[in-house]
Amino acid sequence: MDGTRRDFLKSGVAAATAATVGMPLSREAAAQARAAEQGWQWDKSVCRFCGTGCGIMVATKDGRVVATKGDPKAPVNRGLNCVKGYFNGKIMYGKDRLTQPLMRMTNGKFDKKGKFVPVSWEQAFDEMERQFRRVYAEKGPTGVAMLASAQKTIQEGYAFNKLFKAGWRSNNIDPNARNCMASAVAAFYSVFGTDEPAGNYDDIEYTDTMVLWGANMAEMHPILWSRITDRRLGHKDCRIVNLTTYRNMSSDIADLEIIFKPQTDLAIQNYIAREIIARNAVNKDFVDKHCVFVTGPYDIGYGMRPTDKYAFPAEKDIQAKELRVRLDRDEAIAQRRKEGELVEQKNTGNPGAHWQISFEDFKRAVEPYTLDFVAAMSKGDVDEPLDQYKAKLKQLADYYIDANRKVVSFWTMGFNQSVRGTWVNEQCYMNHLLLGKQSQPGNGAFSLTGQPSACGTAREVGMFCHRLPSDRLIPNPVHREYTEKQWGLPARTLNPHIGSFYGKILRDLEDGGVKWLWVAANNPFQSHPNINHWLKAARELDNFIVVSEAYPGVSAKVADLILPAAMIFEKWGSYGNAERRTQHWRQSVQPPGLARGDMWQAMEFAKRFKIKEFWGEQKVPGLKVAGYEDGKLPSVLDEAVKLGYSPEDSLYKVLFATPGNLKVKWPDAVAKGRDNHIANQLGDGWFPEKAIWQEYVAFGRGVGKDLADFDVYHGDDVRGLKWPVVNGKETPWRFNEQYDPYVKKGAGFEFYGKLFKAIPTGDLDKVTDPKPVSVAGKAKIFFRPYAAPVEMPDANYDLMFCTGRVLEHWHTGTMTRRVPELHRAVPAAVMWMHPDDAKKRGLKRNDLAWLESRRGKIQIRVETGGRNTMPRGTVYAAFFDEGVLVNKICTDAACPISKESDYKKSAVKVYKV
Amino acid sequence: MKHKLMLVASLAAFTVACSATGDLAVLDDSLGLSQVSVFDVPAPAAFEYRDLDPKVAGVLPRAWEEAPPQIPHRVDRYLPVNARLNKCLECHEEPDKIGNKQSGKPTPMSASHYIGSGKDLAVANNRYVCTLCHAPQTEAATLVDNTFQKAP
Repeated sequence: MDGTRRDFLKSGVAAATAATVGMPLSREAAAQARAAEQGWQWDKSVCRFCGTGCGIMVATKDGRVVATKGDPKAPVNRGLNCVKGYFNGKIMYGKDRLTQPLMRMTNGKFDKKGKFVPVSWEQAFDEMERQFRRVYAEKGPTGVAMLASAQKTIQEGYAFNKLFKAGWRSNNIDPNARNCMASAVAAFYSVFGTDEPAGNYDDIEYTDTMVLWGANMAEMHPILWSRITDRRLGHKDCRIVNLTTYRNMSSDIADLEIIFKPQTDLAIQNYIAREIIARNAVNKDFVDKHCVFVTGPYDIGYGMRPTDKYAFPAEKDIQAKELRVRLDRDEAIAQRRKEGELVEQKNTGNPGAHWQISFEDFKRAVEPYTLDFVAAMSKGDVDEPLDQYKAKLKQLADYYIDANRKVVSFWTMGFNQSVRGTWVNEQCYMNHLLLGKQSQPGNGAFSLTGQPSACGTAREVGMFCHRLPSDRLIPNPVHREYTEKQWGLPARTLNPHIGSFYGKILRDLEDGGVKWLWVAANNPFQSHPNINHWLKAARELDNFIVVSEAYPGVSAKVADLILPAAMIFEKWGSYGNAERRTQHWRQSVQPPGLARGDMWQAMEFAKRFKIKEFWGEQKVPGLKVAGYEDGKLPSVLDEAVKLGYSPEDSLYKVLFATPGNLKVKWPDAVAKGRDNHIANQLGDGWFPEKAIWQEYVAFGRGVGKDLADFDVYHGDDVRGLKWPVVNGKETPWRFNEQYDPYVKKGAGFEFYGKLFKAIPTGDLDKVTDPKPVSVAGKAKIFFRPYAAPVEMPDANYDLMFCTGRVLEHWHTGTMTRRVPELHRAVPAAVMWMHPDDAKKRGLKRNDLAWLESRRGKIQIRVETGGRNTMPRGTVYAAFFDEGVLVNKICTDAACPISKESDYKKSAVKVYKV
Repeated sequence: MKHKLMLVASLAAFTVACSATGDLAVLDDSLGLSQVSVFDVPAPAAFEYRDLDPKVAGVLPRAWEEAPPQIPHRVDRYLPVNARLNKCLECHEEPDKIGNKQSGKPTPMSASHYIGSGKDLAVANNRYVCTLCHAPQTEAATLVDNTFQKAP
């Protein structure tokens, strides 16, 4: 089929309104009738995999899932699924599904060096409790931790968050979302004062320019890619730019492909800002009314430990950069310093500090980012002529600046997983704000997410070590007080000391700070970078690790106790996707054997503890907060008695089965005959998922995070709702008066987020007046400079390694590798490499090679063809394969502001096995 | 009673899964898809995609009626699909033959891939990138069985 033919093709979107992506209504009716005859029951549900949040329909018969399909009524995907999504129906049926607790034992007793033995839930919880009490007695709230997940349901996230923070008074609960979108969150907070995107997926059909910044959407967000493809092919002026560090599937549809050097996106953003100013294209009216200019310190380190005590010998040279860094030539120009200057990293303690500057200062800061400078330092393919690359950068700036073009910028891990992840997020808003192309249909910077409920469960619930529900923060006394009231807690029950973030929990495990760890719905011992450290800590040190899992993945293998978990269609739940859409589903089938939902696991375990064990005085090393004795949480037991609690009350009763929640009865008409194994197992007649939902939504109402009532989402015609849902109405574009009820009448736009809206004043280098000035209602335009990756290829480790996903597998492959069609599509992780780089090392396609970094080495097969084309000097391998543990290679350096790990830049060497 | 029965059933399933050890206790090394220690660095097996000519490749079994069929034949001559060229459609876009697959001939795309009717009938643009749903397959052995069964 040729290009001229394409113009005649029709848009699937238009069709979706009349029928279902082309399927004639009569045919769909026939299919439904046939299904009814077969005795199938169809339930609306949500895809288990990425952050797109596609609606699916699940067919069950005789207690088993027999088919799934894309939901024709779902506005996200309009009946389509990607190849993973289509196989949701098979993910629960891997033959080695965990159906019973397994504990390491010798001679009938727990033994850390023992073999796994099937035990009852009673035996499992007995040991888990005994170990918990041992560690809590020794170390207090900071000795226990949970590595939580953006794949938990919203209610599960809320329940675990409450159990840890209110029950155990520990803030050591942090999700794998930390490694997914923490940089996006940090920038939402710093720029807008509130989390999550302004726009929604309809931006794709409203815009004419889409710029992908290090986001290979063709593989990672396939259904959004199908909508982008639809827009591109059906709209001849539409243009797609793929900014990437290697050629990938998204380039196949893109009009402009820009291969840049890793982390030079920071410089390219500033080049665009410089062009906007130089071409007199600043939207002055928008900027004057709605924005302020700000900057912050550059010497913020790289999110590593301040000591090399735990570093492998080969890691020490990089680790030393946490303390001081010698600037290279490009950094020196970009930061207005001298090449070779040794810079002490003085602001690792408060890396996110920022202050207001003048437009003149901002202009001076972006001045060095000329086309000549940026093109020379950012060109990522050594074989591309410089002039050609320059023309591409200029074209990119033209697209952004063209007053007749609407522009949407998309990104995910390419930005977020970087030692300067927060900065580059802030820069993307910088350009959209300078142009006034933000918060309008078809115009906006759009941060995508990777996991099905990164937004819903992790971010909105505040299941992070520093957060509370609905944009509230642990260090803020007003937020703590509000949360204590909502939860019926005595004042000062909540721990004001920020807990350990995801990567730090693993570091704590290694240095003995954390000795009791619960992992659920994620696989840190495969997915977190630099795992040789954490695997060793798990197996060789005195600690107790519980892993709630559906399948025996790497984390289960290093656990001391494995708890069998119910999977998505085996329980009630809800997810929140990347366009603020909250979607709920019912339980379709029972979990197998003794597998149980995480919600039951949290609540049943909570029955074993009394408030008197935790609400007395507790030690918290490092706690130093006004109103608290240093290093201590006060006893709140007297106050608890005044509130009507008995010290003997269980955490289950106080936190979950509260008098209010017990009034929400199970069974409930909203179930329409579907079961609820968790309500049945708890057996006290309440409906936990609904009661917890209704308890949770109170946090968001009136503060711009309004969610609807439980039953609304279960309505037959509802396919999720985009919050804030005010008076029953969704909000399609935030901060825009036309669409967002929270914007003051007559304001046009209002960036009403409340966090970090009183800031000092200064110049490009420092604060000059520390007095906080209000910038309420405004968005911040940040100047952030280019900084080099912490680890660069050198004579020894001479290649740059990048990791990520492939279309056919989800994360660590525990589900998708058990689906035969998906496994056969990509049976193992391979290393994509430029043919010349391979040849130089005596390698060719399919040869076995060692891939080695400062942190470890693995064996992997070489791929020089296929879907990716690497520039010389860069190699890529996905992390889904437990047989090829690429995270033994990756650095755990992180963005110092967001604490999100940099998976995209590790220096490696490759040689023949 | 029901509880006990479930326990026995799941124990039985587990015993099968870990029969290599001969008893109910298993080493972590024999769990999971790789069945090696997490400290090992195993050599991954090589794999190749099916290189059959479309004329002789046949069709692969479909998981259930509306599951996307997977690609049984070689793709090196046909991929990638890009904005200018879609070699898949050259063979599979056959609106006159929907539901009428003949041996040795291309499988016509299903009706769900088209919109419009009569002379306006066309492939829906959001279905244009075939590999989002249809993946080329290797001959790799499954790592663990899957007990999913489509309804009879």
